[in-house]
Amino acid sequence: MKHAVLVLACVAGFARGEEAVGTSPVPPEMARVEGGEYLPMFGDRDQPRQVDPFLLDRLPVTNAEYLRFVRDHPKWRRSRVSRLLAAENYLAHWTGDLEPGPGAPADAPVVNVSWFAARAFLKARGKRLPTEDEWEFAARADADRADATRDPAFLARILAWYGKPNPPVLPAVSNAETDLRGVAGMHGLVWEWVRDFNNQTVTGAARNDASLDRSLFCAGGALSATDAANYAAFMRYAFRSSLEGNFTVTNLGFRGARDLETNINP
Amino acid sequence: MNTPAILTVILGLGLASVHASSCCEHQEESTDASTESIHQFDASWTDQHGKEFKLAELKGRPVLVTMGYATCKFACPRLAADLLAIERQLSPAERSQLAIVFVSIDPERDTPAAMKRFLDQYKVDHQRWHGLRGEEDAILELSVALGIRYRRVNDTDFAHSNVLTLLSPAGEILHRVEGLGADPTTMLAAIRTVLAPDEAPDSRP
Repeated sequence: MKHAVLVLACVAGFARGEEAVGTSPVPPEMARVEGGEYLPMFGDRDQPRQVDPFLLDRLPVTNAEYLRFVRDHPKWRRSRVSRLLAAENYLAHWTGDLEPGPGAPADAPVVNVSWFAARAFLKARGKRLPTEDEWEFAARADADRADATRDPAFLARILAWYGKPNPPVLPAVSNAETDLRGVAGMHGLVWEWVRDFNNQTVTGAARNDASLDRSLFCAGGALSATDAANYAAFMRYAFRSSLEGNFTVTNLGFRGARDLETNINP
Repeated sequence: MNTPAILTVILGLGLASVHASSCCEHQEESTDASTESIHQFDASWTDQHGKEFKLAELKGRPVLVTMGYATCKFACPRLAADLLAIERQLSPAERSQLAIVFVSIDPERDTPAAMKRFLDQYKVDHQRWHGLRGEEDAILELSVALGIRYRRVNDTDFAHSNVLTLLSPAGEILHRVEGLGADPTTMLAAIRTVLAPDEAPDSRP
């Protein structure tokens, strides 16, 4: 079934004259992120990690898109969703099951969605969440550079956003800053789920490796980072480590990713 | 879980406007047991006998579940020892009602044969113990539902949290114990609460 959907999607893509890179079409709503090596920040992750080329949604998922999803998939409506899959604040800022209301404009990023919900949305579209490595790799870019993380001004802009309170109503995704690949809103709009958000073992229970990750939370955490200047990334790793799969957060949304190959694994 | 504390730390660091909802504090308010069940995860697994296995097959009996990997040299043998320690303190009648599930986070190397060898080391009852191998996405889904964190750290090893979870006969999460070598008292009490009332009180060893 997945293959059939993908074949149809590919055919439809070519029919609209989409950009084709190698043998993989790039849908108009996605951008190709060339892979490469990058250094993650913490613990045993001081070895460069290889990120393969992948496709990433240009924009985070909006309320309008999510509304269509819950219309088509009733089990994900606010009043019906399993508490195992989404905590009680799931879509809490919406007026009703099928009414986003004034607090959730159609073109604003959807938030208050759980990891399970984000995953289900993307699976229905033949996509998946980006991995942490993919997200962090892509998020190093600004309008001119694939890696702007050595620029204090770039990091300062991100931290300035982290320090601001959320606006009562989130702005439209189209207003977000766009990077050189055409990917917008990686910073400055909402935080975003990643596929493997649970890859940091931070509880005291992880006795076999706790020393690797306590650096995230102890006073010297930033000093053990491979790039101590990138405090913004430190914040993101710390935030993800605090999440559970059914959590919903008022400024946490998501966007889709896809392998270049057709073996989608949402 | 340390989440509220961790979030407090993050908030202290300057992260604005984060509000998270805890997973477990509302579970007891659920009125529809089936929607809270991990049995709803429909992925196919393979057990230590090479047979296809669905989590829904566990319906009707309480289950102790943990995740690790068979070639793990430190934590997983201790996780298995913790499971055995709990089992040993149950009466034969209590024990017979409990299923125990060890889910591998290393599907590449934990073949059914490897899982069987791992379980054989502990002379477990293969009728009640299930060593499961699944696809990467099914493992991730279950780990997230159980609040287990893991990642590969090199070619042969994973870092992972050590969590024993008790599931009700309906597949709901009833009790969790984090950490190796934890005192089994609370888990035993939770198991005895969920076991059939006419079996548990009079049959303790």
